[in-house]
Amino acid sequence: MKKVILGILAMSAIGFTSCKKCSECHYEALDSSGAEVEVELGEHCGDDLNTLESSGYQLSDGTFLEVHCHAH
Amino acid sequence: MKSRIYKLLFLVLIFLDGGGYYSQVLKGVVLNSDTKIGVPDAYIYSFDLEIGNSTNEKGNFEILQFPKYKSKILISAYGYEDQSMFISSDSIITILMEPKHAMLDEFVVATPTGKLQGENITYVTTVKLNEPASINNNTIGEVLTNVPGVYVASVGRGISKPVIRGLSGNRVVTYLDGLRIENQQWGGDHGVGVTALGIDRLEIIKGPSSLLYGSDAIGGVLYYVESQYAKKNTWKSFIETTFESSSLSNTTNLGTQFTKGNSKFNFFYGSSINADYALPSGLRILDSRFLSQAFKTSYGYNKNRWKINVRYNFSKSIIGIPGHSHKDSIYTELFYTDKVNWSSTLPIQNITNNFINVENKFYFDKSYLTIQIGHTANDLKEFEEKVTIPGIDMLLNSSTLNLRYAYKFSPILELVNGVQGMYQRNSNGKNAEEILIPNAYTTDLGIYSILFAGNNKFKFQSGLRTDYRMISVDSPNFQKDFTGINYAIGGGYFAKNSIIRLNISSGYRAPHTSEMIANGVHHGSFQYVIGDLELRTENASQIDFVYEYANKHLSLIFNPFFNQIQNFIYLQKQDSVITSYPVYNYVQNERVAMHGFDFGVHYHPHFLHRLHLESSYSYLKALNSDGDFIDQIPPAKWLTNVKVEFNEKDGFYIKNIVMRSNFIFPQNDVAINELPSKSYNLLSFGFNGVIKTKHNIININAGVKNLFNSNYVDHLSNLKYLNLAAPGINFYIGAKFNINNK
Repeated sequence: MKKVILGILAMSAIGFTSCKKCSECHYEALDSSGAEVEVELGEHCGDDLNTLESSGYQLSDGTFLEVHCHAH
Repeated sequence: MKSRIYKLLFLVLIFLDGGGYYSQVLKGVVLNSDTKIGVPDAYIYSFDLEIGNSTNEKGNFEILQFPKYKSKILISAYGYEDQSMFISSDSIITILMEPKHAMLDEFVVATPTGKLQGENITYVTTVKLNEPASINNNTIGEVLTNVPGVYVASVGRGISKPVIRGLSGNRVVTYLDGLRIENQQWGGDHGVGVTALGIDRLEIIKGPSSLLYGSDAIGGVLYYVESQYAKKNTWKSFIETTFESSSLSNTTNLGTQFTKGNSKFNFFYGSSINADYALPSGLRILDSRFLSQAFKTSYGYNKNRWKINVRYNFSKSIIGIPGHSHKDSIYTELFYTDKVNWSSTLPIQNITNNFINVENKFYFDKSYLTIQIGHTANDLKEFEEKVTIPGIDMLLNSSTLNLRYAYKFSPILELVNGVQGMYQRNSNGKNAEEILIPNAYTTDLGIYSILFAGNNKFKFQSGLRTDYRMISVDSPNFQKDFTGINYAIGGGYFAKNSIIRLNISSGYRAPHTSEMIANGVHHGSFQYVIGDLELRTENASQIDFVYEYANKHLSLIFNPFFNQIQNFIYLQKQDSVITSYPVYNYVQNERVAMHGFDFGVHYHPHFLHRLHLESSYSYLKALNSDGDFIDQIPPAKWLTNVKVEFNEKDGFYIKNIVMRSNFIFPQNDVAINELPSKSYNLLSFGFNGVIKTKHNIININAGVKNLFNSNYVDHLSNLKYLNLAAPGINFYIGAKFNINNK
């Protein structure tokens, strides 16, 4: 009986443990012809992902662009 | 000071142990009424004390720690008609069990009133959830769609809101073993906060029920009753798993229950993973996937005149919100996908619930006192455009207190007095992009008194309640007070084959904070919502009549009702659009009148003992004071079940085969700007089998839902405006492995 209870507690502990959140991110920009394109920024995780979403992506000229990430 | 505390504790313990000099043992024998031979393995159970025991091979039994208080016990044994009786520990009883000819309805206890369903003046519909359903139900929403007069407003398969006689949201109150569940139920996309894991049964009260359940219960009540504990000094465990083809879903639950001495324990864990569901065409609805997990545990203890239950629930759900896009042009095909996907994508709801409930009950010779303290914490996050920054982030903490004192003046006269209180705090997360409803707190206090009178033939109940609600909002800073006085009066005539019940009850609902000060986009329901600070209290009055007839082969029920709600609050669609979302204003109509009926029949022909035919028809119509139809009123529905049962035997056997038809009529009685809906028929087929060994039982089930792959959009679906259909043909297979150890 103790094994069954320990089994349920272990299943619950494993089940409720979430893994680190990672996402593919991109920002939108205009190409030389003026068309809108998505510029991929690759996969970002954890605090890095949070900073990117909250502050945006900084271009070399210092401007910040809004970043879109997709959960997966 | 310390010694005084010790003295006080000592006195409390003496009080709890009071009556220790009484026998505190219930003894008796259960006999076959025809042969007068003892019935082995009959189970004698007191539902209010939550203790019981089985008879030995001679039919004798004894239940320890049974107080002198007169408790209602149920006696059940395989092959015999169920029985019930009032009994106390100072007597030795002989119970005669009548061999069963055919069973149409089992004895079911209506928990809130502590009376048997058949003796209750308010009609209570009961759905058993602890045993395999005839046709598998993957969610509570599916369970509710098969109850007469009850419907579901859904957003895909992951989000289901109960609709009782056309009312939902804040107008339907949910209780989990006496604990009021608060989970932002005002939102069109905020589903039921309780899963079926570890639940014995669901009791549904249709219509205003504020007398016992307080403010907001003007549409009805869902009352979940947790699983009973294992029999004395035994343990049992189970593991069950089900697979469904439409969402390629898997639901797995496991649990163990045991008692040792006076202590009783339950542990359960369950998880469910669901991909985007498949349409009749084979394409899938994007982001209709969901994942949920739950853990719950209960501890119970009985000692002489005292009973305590401590229950804890933890659940976590990640639910996709289908039918949602930020694109300028929105069309149905945008939400189709041909890929199978389980992993979460935006937008999603992330919901975490913590419920704790501590119930103490003290029994005296003619009375009992219940003290119940509970807390619920509902953390709702909606991620809309960013995966780490929630669009909405609300934490709803609700602390509740229930006190109830019931005194029996005589076997035919009982007075129940009670106090209910709640302190609720809604807090928005600092990172949330939007604040749909502000930080606010709500205080509730209600006092009630109910008188029960009657004998076996005539019963009467009457009660009065007064409520006070105070809502205080941080920003914009304001405070509002609401009061309500409610009543219920009813009577019943209980003959051998017929029962007549007439009940008049009232309910009240103070406007919710969201209805008063909302001003923003609600992505889940795809609306821009604007509230009104001047909204007044809703007041409902219902007349409910029930006629039941039953003999050994036929049972009938006819339940007409009329419910009138004054100052009805509703969302009215405007012609304007803000940030590409249609604008909805909370407005109030002077009066909404709702009337309808449920009719049900259960036929079990004498010449075909294995056949059960069940059918019900539910009808509802609602008009406001201007003579217009109101929004989101469900169409009529006709439910039919044909079940063939087979005899129990050792080894493998088929328990039953079931064919179910859900015919939903068209709804053309619609509000201004509301879409009508077409009729549809869902045919399902399933079988339940059992593999029985010396100690263990394995239940297996398999079947198909929506057998003819019907393409339909339910009238109450939030995806109706996008013409996104419900799941197509859906095969399922499942097994439950039960381990019993005496």
